[in-house]
Amino acid sequence: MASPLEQFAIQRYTDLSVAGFDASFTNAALFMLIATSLIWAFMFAGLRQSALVPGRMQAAVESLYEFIVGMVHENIGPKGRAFIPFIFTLFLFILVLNVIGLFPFSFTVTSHLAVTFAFATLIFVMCVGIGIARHGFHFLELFVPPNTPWPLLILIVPIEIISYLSRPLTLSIRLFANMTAGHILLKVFAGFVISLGAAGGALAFLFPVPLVMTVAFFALELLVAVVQAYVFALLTCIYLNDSINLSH
Amino acid sequence: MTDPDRQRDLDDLEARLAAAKARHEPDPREVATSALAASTRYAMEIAVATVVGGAIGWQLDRWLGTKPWLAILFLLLGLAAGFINLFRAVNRETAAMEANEKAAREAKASSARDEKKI
Repeated sequence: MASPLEQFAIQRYTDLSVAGFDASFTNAALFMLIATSLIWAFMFAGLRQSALVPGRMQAAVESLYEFIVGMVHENIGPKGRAFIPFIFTLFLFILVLNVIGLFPFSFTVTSHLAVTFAFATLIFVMCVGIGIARHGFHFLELFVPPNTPWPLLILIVPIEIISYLSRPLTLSIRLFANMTAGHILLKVFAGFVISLGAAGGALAFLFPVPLVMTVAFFALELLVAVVQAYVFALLTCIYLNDSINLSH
Repeated sequence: MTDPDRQRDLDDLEARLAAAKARHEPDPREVATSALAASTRYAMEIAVATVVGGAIGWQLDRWLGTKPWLAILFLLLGLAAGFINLFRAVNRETAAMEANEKAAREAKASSARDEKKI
């Protein structure tokens, strides 16, 4: 029987090298392209006719957009308007990658730490850059919570710095771990169906049990795929808020 | 129907609206989603902050030759960082809940006052 980890293997379709770096076209790249074209098709279908009274597709696109606008406003405030396109793109891309990964025989790009860590690093560098550009040295006040008695600062400042430095890791590992664990679980339970059926005799009649579990886990995974995309976008908002408004 | 009658109807409607708003509870599915989101977030932060603290301490130990003291110190600081994030989240949540309850009580009190007036 196939190993439950086989689904995460990277396959090279064509070898390509750019300036000495390996830039082969892999299944990860393929599924990112699929996700991008799906998003493009969705947006195109929704915005082809920009009617005053939206049709079905347009209403879908608009409500998704309104959802992100609400999230950005709630977490960053009016200064966050400039970041709505970024958060919207990020949320939609991760959401579509998570959801198409649930189709049989597909590949989940977000189940690779390399991908999620690249997202998180980009966000971290962006947050630090924006913080320094907007506040200069005052950006370091982020590590000094207000109303702290000074003897405690010796303890609090290193704690705040560690907490800040762990942000890109928490952001990336949460998405990666949720997707990977869910897919392994699904594969293992689906494998039980086959092995029980192959065992023959009385055991063969037990095969509906893991089958039902697989269906239940699939529903859970669908929820996790959406929630994790939401959490990723939400935390990006919260981190950007720290850089923009210098608040805790 | 006379004017005072209409006014009373309106007041009654107003009071019922306020009571309904105070009673309004968020969609349980929404709460479950955000609770799931928050729990994965804070659990992860405690684990990762501890590891990052330990890694920083370990690297400092290698540079300064103080094995193993800084690694232990920073591991504990990392653990503290994770828990401080959790404490802050719990405090925020409690404050929000208390504010909600207070608003609900005030709405109820004002609707009771209105009824007495009638």
